[in-house]
Amino acid sequence: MSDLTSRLRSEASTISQTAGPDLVTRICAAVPAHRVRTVDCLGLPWPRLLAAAAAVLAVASGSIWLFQAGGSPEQVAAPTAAVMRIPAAPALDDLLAPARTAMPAPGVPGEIAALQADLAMMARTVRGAIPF
Amino acid sequence: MTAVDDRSLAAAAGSGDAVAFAALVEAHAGRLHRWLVATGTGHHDAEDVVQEAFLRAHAAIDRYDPRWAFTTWLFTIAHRVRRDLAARRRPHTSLDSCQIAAPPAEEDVVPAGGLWARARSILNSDEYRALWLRYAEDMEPAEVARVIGINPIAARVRLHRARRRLEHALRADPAFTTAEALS
Repeated sequence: MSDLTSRLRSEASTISQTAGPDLVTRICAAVPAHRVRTVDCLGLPWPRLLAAAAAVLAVASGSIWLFQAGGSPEQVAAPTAAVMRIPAAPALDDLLAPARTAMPAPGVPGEIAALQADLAMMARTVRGAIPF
Repeated sequence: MTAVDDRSLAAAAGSGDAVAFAALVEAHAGRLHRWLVATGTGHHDAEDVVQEAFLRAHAAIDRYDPRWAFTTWLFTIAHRVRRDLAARRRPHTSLDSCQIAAPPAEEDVVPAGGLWARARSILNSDEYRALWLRYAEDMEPAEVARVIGINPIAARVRLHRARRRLEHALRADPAFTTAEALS
């Protein structure tokens, strides 16, 4: 039985490939149309968040400049009040809505099983990284 | 095609060379399909898995680590795609240790009565897939481990157990202890 390895190898070499003749063509045709997905961290609207952060920073630095230049509290407050009226800072619920809809709906067995399988794989990967 | 060729093709594909990626598809789609079918996936599902695996590989080609063979990376992706597909189809079935059912005769690529068919009837799916990757795809144990998502020591243990179980079964089976079977 010492040649089990060679028998497994030789028998495997006689097993022919089974893909249909058009599989390669099909894949190559699909590749250009397949859009490369960009990373969408948490599904949040990052451009809007960045714009809001930039607006807040601009107003804050402008207010400091005004204050240092001897502006009255009313003068300093004016631009702050103006920026607060800009609807650039959406509600937290609005921000999290895309992420929430991307989560699997509770009670859908397939989704939960897929999630469990992913978690199990993740756990195995983490366990695999531990050298003992 | 050698692993070095694969790596240079993958590098070219990463810089947008569609011809290089097509060469990778040409070289490996058949092998990948054979592995999927031989280890329990139907022909049509296997074609879908192969296509999805290549599309994912294309989308993430810039994350390919050339320290590993391209086939190892590709088979790893395909293994995950198949696992996800199986989980969607059979949400309440444990996928880890069930036995691979032989497909209908017209779809079966493994010769009936042969050593691989015998192995399929004896081993569980994890052992059979590991054995196939090791001996039919000629992967090192570390590569087998990477594809199926376990650590290398566990892969070696799994391969050892699979071989031992297969050897014991063959010893006990008069059909396989003939001179022809053991030659």
